[in-house]
Amino acid sequence: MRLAALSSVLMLVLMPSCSTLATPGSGDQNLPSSGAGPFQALAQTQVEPADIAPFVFFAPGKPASEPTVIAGRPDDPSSPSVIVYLVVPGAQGSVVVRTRADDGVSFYGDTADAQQDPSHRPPVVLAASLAWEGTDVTGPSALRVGPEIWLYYAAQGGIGLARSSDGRSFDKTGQPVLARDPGARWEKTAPRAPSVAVFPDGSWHMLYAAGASVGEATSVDGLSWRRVDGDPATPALDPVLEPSAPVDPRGLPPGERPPFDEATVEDPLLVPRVDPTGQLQVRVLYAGYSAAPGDAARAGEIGFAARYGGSGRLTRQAAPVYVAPGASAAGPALLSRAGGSVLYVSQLDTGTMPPALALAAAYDPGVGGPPAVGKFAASP
Amino acid sequence: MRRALAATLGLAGALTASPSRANPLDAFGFGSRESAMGSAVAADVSDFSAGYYNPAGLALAHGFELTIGYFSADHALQMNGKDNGVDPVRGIIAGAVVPGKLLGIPFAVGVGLHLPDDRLARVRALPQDQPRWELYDNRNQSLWFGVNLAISPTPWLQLGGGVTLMAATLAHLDISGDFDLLRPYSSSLRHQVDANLTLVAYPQLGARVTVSKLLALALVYRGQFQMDLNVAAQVKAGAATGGAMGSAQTDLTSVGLGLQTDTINAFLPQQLVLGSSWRLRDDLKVNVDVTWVNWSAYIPPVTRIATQLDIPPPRGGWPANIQPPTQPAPIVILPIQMTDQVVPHVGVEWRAVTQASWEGFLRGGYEYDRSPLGAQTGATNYVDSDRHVVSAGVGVRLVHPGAILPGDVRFDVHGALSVLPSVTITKQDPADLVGNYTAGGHIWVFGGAATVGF
Repeated sequence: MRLAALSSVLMLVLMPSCSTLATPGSGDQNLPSSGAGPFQALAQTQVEPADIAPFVFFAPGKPASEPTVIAGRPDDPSSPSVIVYLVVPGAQGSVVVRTRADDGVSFYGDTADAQQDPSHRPPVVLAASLAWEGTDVTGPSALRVGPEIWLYYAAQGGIGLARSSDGRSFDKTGQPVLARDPGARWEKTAPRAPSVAVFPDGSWHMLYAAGASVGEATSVDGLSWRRVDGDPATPALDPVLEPSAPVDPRGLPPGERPPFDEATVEDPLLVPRVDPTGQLQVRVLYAGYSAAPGDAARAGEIGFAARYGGSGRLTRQAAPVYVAPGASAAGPALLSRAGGSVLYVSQLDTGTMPPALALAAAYDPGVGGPPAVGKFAASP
Repeated sequence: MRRALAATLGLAGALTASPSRANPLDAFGFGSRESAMGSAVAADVSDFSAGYYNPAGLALAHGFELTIGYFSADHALQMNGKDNGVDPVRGIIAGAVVPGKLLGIPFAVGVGLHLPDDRLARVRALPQDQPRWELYDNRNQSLWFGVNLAISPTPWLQLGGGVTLMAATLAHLDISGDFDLLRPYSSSLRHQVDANLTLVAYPQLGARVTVSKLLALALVYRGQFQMDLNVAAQVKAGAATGGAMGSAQTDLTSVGLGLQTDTINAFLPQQLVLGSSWRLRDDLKVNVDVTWVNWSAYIPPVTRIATQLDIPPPRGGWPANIQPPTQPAPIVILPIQMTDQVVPHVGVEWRAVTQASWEGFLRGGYEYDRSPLGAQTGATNYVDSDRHVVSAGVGVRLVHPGAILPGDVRFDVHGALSVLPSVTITKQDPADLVGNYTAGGHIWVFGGAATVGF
């Protein structure tokens, strides 16, 4: 009898034990992130088949650089649709053109698209026309302001502004909104590469590159700008981000390398946010270089710096957040959307002869996956 | 003598501080009756679960008992208000107690088992900056098996001890073949994995003293142990660029990579438990336990990596478009800040129904786990929060139900809710890639067990 009872109980044990196949472990969904990388370059299956990953926009003979982006469908926060303004060579100097990708990767006027329809050529939306501009317009920074799209840009005499109601036809406001200031001693060149954002308190902030560093200016209306001292503790007007202090590589442990941005910091991208704890986090992506302009070894990597609050110096992350292996990356632009973010950079395409700058894309695995490849946009 | 020993137990307990989230049993209890009582049973346990709570309690068993049950813990743990998908812990619990007498001294042998549904063990080696629920994500996904022996030299004293076994992993990975530096997808590499799941053991000791009809005290020690994950890898390959692999025209060089990774996949700190059981009435017991957990000895589950890279340059040097990899920089393991904790447990059992053929029990319990983890203001993200556990359960005992089952038969079920209040993690470095976030949530636990006495 006892044996029968024992057998019954053992059966109860064994029956549920036969049910198992291991499942993959989890526990790493929806993890917090600053949304600033590290970024992973798109793979070949994540771009148009005719493109070569991670490049998403390539125009033969026309190096494309310094992208700036705005959401293509601002009413849909999950949409990967993106409008990109790029700098390309024009007849007289560099100009700004506009293109679009409804899926985030298949750009109107890309080589592959233009082969299918030669009429698909990104239109020029901005070219130098004013005396203070010289021959080139560069470093566009686009943002939506009410029903308009404002495009800040750099030219010979500083930073200018153009406004548009349709994002295609822009009217310049005239004189530069931020010109060179002899009082800013660190600014060895005219301000360039602007990036403008409106903070939650309504104040306008602009980061710009000058010399080897990055400075900041503020405004109440986006039209009239005033420089901000990055370090009020000193009497001089200081930048908010400078190159890292040089490090002697001979003193580094094996495998360590000097800072990637010990020569210059450029192309700031201002991306403020109120973080999940309610604190203002001013995030900045930038291009860092370990060699000075003109040095053959000069190659850019994308870095991340940030601060809490509306003013003050930026603190940098030691490691770059995007590196183009064997090439140079600069001019970061970020499309943040629900479910993922895409980083666009101008990157040297070493697969072409001669190597040329083209638009490359990467995504932040910590925020979400890459956008799904769709089809080329029908209009810019 | 009895009072002196009781006083010693009491003093030791006062100087120390209870089980806390280190394996599935620490986190969610073992046995339905015991879990319902907030795991406050060190001085009030005699079934298979005594192998975990207090081996000495086994000596109180009246006859051969066999228990089988099941429990499930479902996490709803969130960061920034979004669920992190922490795996549930589910599995069979089972055990047996075999009492007897040796030279006139009562003794008992007990075995206990927690057999997870999905896996015998899980290993994960995450970067130290990746946010994870350190005490719930991985360490509870493990087999637990305990074997214990207890004696009762006098009717008021029981002593017990044994070992608990858990699984660890040793692995060796060999990779060989050819790879194309310019076209990685064209590479042909073969790999061979040799992995062993080994058992590691840690000791546990327990004592129980019946001070009076009113009071029993217990002292339990659980040893420290760690589950290792050691992986050694060897890569030997020829490197080429373009053309047919291995052809004389395209061979570049050879690659040799030695990799040794050592990870403490789960670390269980030593624990000391002081338990007390108060029989306030014949039908009402109140138990209070406190456990001291030596969290300050915790070793973070960060992989230590030693590499040796050997890539001699080809004749004529490297092609311009190839940058050979360099020896990776060693990972700097940041210290983890954990402090020892005292975990209080309270349990109540009321025999609500007393009939000649059966008895009914109502149970309740509470446990408070203060988080041992320090503020995560730096690069690490070991996430945790204080935990309040409220539990309840019911039980039925059939008294000598028949000739087939001459002993008692018990059915117990329980449920518990762990609440982890939301905490805010603020980073000193505004450029931290994870940034500031909030973390909190809750865990539901349900289980049941059937015990048959022979």
